[in-house]
Amino acid sequence: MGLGSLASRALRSSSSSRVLSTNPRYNLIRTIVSTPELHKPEAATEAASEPDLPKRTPIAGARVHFPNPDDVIEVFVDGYPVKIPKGMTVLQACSVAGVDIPRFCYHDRLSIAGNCRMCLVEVEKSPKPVASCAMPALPGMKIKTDTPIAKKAREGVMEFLLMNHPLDCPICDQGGECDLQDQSMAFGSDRGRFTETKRSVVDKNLGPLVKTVMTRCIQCTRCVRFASEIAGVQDLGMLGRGSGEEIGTYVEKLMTSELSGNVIDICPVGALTSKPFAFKARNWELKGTETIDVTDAVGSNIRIDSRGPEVMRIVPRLNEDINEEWISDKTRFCYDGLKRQRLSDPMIRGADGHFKPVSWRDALAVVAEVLHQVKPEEIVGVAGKLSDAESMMSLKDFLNRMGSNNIWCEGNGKYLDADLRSGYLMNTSISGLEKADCFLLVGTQPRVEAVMVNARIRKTVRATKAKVGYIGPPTDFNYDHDHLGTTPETLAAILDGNHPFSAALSTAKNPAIIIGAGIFDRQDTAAILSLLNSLSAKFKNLITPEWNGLNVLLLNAAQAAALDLGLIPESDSGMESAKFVYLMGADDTNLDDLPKDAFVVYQGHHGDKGVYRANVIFPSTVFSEKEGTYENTEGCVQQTVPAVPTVGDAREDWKIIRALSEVCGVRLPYDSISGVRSRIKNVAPNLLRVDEREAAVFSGLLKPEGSGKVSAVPFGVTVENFYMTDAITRASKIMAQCSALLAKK
Amino acid sequence: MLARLASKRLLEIRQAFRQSPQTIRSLSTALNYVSSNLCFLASKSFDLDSTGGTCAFSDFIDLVCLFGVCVQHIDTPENNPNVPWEFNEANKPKVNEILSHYPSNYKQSAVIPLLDLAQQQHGGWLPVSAMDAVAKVVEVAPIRVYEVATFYSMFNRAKVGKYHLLVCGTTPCMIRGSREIEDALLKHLGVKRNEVTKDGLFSVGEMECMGCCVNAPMITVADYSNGSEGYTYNYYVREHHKLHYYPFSHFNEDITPKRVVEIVEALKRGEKPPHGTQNPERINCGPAGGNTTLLGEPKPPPCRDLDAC
Amino acid sequence: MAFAMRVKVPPNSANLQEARHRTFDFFRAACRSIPSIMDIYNLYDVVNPSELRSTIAAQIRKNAHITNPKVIDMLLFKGMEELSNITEHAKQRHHIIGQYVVGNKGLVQDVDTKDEGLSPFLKNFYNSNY
Repeated sequence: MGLGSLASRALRSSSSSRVLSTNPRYNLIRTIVSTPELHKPEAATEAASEPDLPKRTPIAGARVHFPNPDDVIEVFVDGYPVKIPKGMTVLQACSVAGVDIPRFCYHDRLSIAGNCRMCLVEVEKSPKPVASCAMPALPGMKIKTDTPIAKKAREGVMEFLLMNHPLDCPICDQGGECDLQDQSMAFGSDRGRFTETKRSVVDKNLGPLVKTVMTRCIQCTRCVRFASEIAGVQDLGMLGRGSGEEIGTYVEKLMTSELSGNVIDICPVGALTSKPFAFKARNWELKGTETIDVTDAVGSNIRIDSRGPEVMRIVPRLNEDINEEWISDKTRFCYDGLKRQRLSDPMIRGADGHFKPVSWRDALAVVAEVLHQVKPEEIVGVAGKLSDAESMMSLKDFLNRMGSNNIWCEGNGKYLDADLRSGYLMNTSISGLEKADCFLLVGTQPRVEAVMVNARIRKTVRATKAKVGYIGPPTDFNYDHDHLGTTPETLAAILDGNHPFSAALSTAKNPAIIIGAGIFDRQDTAAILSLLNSLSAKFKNLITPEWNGLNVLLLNAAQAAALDLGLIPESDSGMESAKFVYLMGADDTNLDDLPKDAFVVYQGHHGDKGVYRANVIFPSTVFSEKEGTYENTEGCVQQTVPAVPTVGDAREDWKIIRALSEVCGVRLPYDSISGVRSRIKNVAPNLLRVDEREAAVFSGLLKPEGSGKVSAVPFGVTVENFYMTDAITRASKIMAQCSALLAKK
Repeated sequence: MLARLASKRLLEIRQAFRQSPQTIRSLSTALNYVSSNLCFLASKSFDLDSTGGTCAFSDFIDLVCLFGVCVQHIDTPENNPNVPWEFNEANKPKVNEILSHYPSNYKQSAVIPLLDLAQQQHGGWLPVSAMDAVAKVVEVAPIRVYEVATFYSMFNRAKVGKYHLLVCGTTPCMIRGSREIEDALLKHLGVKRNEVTKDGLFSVGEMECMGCCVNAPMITVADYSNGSEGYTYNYYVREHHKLHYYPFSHFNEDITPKRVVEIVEALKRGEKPPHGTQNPERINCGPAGGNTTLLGEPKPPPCRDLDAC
Repeated sequence: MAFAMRVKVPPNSANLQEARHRTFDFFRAACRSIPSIMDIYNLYDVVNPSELRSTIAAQIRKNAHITNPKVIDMLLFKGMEELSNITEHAKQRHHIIGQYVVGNKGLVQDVDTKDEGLSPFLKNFYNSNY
């Protein structure tokens, strides 16, 4: 919260003024208000008016952006002048001036409610303290945040808030990271005057993710506003009135949103806490590791909180360009999948069909022997959806040295051409979607494929009433949309101009077309892509020098990096003629065509689908245990950081391939992760520029015209079950509960 | 040990509720205090004492719903989201009329008048499916309508009788004996507060100040006996005889409850007792026996000459 | 540290002969306490008494070249201290296993012969992930 500095400041000034007020009466009379200077305002003002003001820095690096230089106004915060754009609230002005105002109901990304009254400040010439979160700053306003009036107002509000708040901090999961706890320490009184019994409220059942202890609720309505504004599910409401007021759903209803976990973060008290994390750990015991999420292609920024070797929870990290400060439920709650069904030892399937744990030495030797017996063109390698760039690089290098180039990444299909980066990336970028005023979603259900992208589209639609057209199977949207059709032929109709949506596309200033990566598995991928190419030729505003509205929304964390590294199969034959298959975490590859006598090596971290057909298992690490490079759907490169040690005898992916290459006699020339990265630098240098978006050089999909005809086959649903898409989430118990409830719905 | 103590305390409180109406009465203004106390204890015994907890919980639901403080909806056969409900033919034009008062992009402004209409149509109370129907008409999510309906105490979210008798519970009426009136009503009808009599005719509730404290105590009868067309909302003012005529203690406890029972009986017979003050000597809010002041034209203020202005 | 204080420092050995005697006494004392050590630390499934005996013998032989009685006395004192620590249960099971069962070679016993000619990377790979 950043309130620590303010708290210490508050404490410091109060103690200094206590020294100044030498009246011995205070030693004899114990007043109810704990800060004695409040009884004698003049003494406190004397103490507070320091002659020279220390230089202040904005809270949390808040930057001021002046859209129009004429709209700059100057206000004074505690005597310190600060320039802000017109329309900012008093609270925002204070944060620019480096004063953190205590608040409960105010949240940067939600609408202003102004009902907690904690942010009261004194404004000169105003008869009463004003709620700074809801008061627009006016030119020349003199805001005072540290005066006796402001302090007394805060203390009073705090006393009212604590009136009905239970004193159960020792058994509360929010304890230690609770806004109410922190602020009552900083601004509250040390005793209350309320002697009656506290009220209590019946707990609500919001599903398997969010635990409710509604008695602790202070009615800030952040969760209500989050649900209706960001998540787009109108489930929560403020019911009743007066002291009977409570947050609830009125009818028995679960919160069915893919973003529901975020209410845990925004709840300033312990009313909404994480159900799977309940009573598991205290926040001060946890080690936070700032890393990224790999369960979808967005690459949400997360912090993995671990205690010893165990991942205890996952919370979001602020990244304005990707996930703002939200993460999806899958990201947040898949962590118990990291501990279950893990492969811990190298294993070989014996003659009886059972796996037997062996040493790495033996496992590698067996695989090397088999590899030397098959022809190079019979070797196939498949990278899984969670693979990092380093391991894919070494897999490709290794198989190339073995003479095969039949290597691809799951989900990229056989028909994709990876020559141009603009052909498989989200060229608009996720934050760029906010500038779009017309969306056309083709064969993609962003709500389940990429939750954060969907949240961004919803934000845009809510703010600008942008039009959304959708081509694909009927599905849930949490914003207004037009369902235009289900087949690629609708796209052709839009191109011809005799579809009503063509008019919307041509009049829009910044139209954005988003194609789902599900089309990569279709026979007519090339035809659809060339259709889009013609679309961009017809609608000139789709691609302009400052706007590229042609986007591909990828599904998996590995896809973009795999295409950058050129993991494209050489021949179309694929699995039918393979004798040796190297599955690097590939669980969703169809192995039905594989000949019975083929030898399958599964290198992965979970005993998932890929294991059933495997002959040898190499245990590897999950994203929370390794350092790996991932590229998200918009081409932004990010790296994971190991948070916990590996499980059992597992090794990092690239190390396994490096070791196998040596045993096979085709030693790869790198011994360290930096060695792999310098190899990557030769192939795809953009993968080394972490946290940067490498813009695609050519915009548009320069596809030859008329490459085949689009089929009339409707677009399919790519993600059947949002909660279970990969090996980690399929192993997760929490995700299983979620999908069971989802199936019931 | 704690569990046993908690359940024992709960038992005591429950008995206190059951045995003496006096307790209910004296606690009724501190309604939230009592029920939350109960709530607290119920949840305590729920956690700690699973055998005693289950029975305590059902009692607790009863009690809480009885006092109308439970905000959460609880499904019953006659009140659940699956019961079909829509505005009837007579009310549909009214719905359109109400909607026409507001701009088409601010349809949600019509939620309160529409809820009122729905309540009149449904015999004085709002089932959850009626709220859903209103939500559909004004094109908002149902929860937004629930928020409104739970906020206003005039929307009854549990079944009421054809004659919903509302006793004023505010201080002036309380001082003038509204508690005795309520007791008399409850005793006569044989129900608890917010409970409907077996014949479905009467229910008793509490209402806050009706703004006629000069005639305190008063009751209101919401009359749904003629459906939404003939719906009336009548104030019956219970008038005490003037204090200097009769000894205070005697009549305060005796006569008024008698009259309220007479009104109930009259309503039961289908009569329409006259509303307004029940003291035949009084006209509206005037004193018994006619006005005693302001009998002639009031004198102009002596300090100013109004004609000169 | 009550148990440590009970260890009395004996007078120095006069000559090598006496020091040698004391060493044998210490070895005997250590061997006698092996059954109770096995019991205290529940070592039955990891080691047997004869292995422990040879470990103790090996520890003593390691210093066989020392002829200075003063040094031997000091080593004996340290040995007795260690022994009393072990019998007083001042250590935990994994200390015993780590120091006297697995030994300095570590858990991987067979690194020596097969790993000839392997790259340092592969040797490390077989050892651990880090």
